[in-house]
Amino acid sequence: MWEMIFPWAEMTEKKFTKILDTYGNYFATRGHDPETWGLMCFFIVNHKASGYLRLSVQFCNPDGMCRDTKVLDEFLAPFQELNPAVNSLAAQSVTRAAEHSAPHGMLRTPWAETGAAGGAYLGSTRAKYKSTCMKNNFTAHEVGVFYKHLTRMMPGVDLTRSMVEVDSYGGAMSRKEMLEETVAYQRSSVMRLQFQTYWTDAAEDEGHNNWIREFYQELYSSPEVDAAHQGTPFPGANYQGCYINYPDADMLDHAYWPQLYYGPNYEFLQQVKKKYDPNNVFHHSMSIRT
Amino acid sequence: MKRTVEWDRRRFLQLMASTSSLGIAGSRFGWAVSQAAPARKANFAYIGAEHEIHVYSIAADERFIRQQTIFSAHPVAMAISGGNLYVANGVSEFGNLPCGSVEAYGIDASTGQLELKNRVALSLSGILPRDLAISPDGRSLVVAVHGGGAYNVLPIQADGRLGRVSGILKEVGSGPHASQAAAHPSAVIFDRFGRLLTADQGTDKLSVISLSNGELMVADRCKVIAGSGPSSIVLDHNGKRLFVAHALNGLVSSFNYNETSGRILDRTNTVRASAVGEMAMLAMHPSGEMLYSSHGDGMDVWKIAANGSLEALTGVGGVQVNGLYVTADGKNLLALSGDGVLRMKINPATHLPSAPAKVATVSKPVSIAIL
Repeated sequence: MWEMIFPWAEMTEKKFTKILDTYGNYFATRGHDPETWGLMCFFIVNHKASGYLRLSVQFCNPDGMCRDTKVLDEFLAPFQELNPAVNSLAAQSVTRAAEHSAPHGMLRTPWAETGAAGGAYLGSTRAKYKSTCMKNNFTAHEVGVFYKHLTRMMPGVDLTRSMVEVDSYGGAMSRKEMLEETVAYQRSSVMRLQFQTYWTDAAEDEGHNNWIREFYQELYSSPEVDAAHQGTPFPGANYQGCYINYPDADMLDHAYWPQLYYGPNYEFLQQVKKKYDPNNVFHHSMSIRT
Repeated sequence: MKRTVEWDRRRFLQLMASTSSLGIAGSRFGWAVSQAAPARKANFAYIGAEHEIHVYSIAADERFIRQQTIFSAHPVAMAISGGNLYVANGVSEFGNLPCGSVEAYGIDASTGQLELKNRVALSLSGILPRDLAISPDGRSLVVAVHGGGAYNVLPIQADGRLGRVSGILKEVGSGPHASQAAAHPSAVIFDRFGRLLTADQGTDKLSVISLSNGELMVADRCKVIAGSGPSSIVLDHNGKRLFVAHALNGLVSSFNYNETSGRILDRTNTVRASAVGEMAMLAMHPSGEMLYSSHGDGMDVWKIAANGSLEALTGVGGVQVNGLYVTADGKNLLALSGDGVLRMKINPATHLPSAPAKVATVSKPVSIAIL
């Protein structure tokens, strides 16, 4: 596992655009190549209030080992001109076995210890999520909306734990033949966006919900989104809807919400639901309805 | 044991007193209205149709005179309590969530007209409610959630508004009929002690359910004929006989019920209705001597013997029936038909209904309440 950070203190909109474009371009152009499927990235694009963007990289070769870092080097090289820093916070908490990995100034952590780094948002009792599955790189409109809302300050609303996590796709998720065998239909996506905001005081509910809703609404309200599906990443040339493990009840406002989350599998999944859970014991507001 | 019985008697008397003061309409109760106090003449009728509730005043000559029509989403069941009308909305989505809803309306005492107080969501997955009942103390509303396979409890607040769902009893199971892939609670009534009796059309079960502090707990279960689909129930005024109409095989059954212990005992007998449809409904004469049933096509009339068995009398043919209601004074039997409300006068001596006469024209009526 490697990590690098980009401090907001050193950020300009131009640099921000370059960082997102570099990241998105790699997966848009290389993400479908099985050679890259051992590369898994968590790019935490934090709100400005948190201080920095954080890019975490896990990598292994197709055989599960990490002897050939050609793909990793290829991914990391374009970021060097953007002057990333070693994540000193992670260096303190991730593991005592962490070590710098030349030439990228990264942290290197044994796989078995990577799980110990979680829990950054423990203590937050309230949260709101949204998601998007992306098939292409970010558009100029999207990057502009990212920058606008990630630098937006809202009086009385603490946005230090608000972010978009941009996860790379790869591995079995790219196997299209699995479309008819599993619930996940997003087999053509190269990135998954997780919009997240966390807080503890109920008085901030409205502020946090407004922040994430307005961000998401504007992101998918460009002319590139067809008129019937404004405000959502409806499956098409650029998007593959939303990920059901991050259910967002706001999407229930759209009659086509099952298409966002279940795509063309919905009718099949309804039949499965009827057969194995006819009493609807397992349910939530966005589960399969029969 | 003696102490328990004494407590039950006291509690029963308290409940009866509170019920009387609340003015709970008799027909939606499981038990027929007591004959001790003469029931006053009905003033207003509330008829639920597909997307609306029609309000009628009832003239001295028994004519229905329409006073108001208001929107309501699929008002499939109604009950009146404390000067308010409570309605179950038979919908599968409310507020974009997969659930049905219930409504509370204030009733203008002089005009009978309704004013919505609030509309409240049922529990998540609680879709397509079918029936509702109000506890004898007037403080709780219980809903049989046919589509969602559950029962919901909602508190009735002092101002008549409904609070959020406070208790959920989720049912599971199935039956041999093609329509019985899951539990489908279809009917809920209260006995005089505040226990719930329920029928589940999906699992062929009758249940006795206790209600305490806003929560539900199963006290007794009784399996009925497999594939019969019990869907409507009524309890006699003594609390000793429970009658069940089965939607899927055209039967009507009677059971002994021990109201003190809250247990459904042996089945007294089962009779076959004159027609088999996809629905079944019951209404009992307040005397406890006559039972009226329908499976959709026509209506059957049953004389109730002392041992609870049913004897077929001459029924009423040629009408499609969606619902039955006997007025609290026992003088009229009302049937919801395809295009209106039919009234049949009940002979005071024989309790046999007369030929039906239309008293209101309503498209596809599905529920009724009388005040």
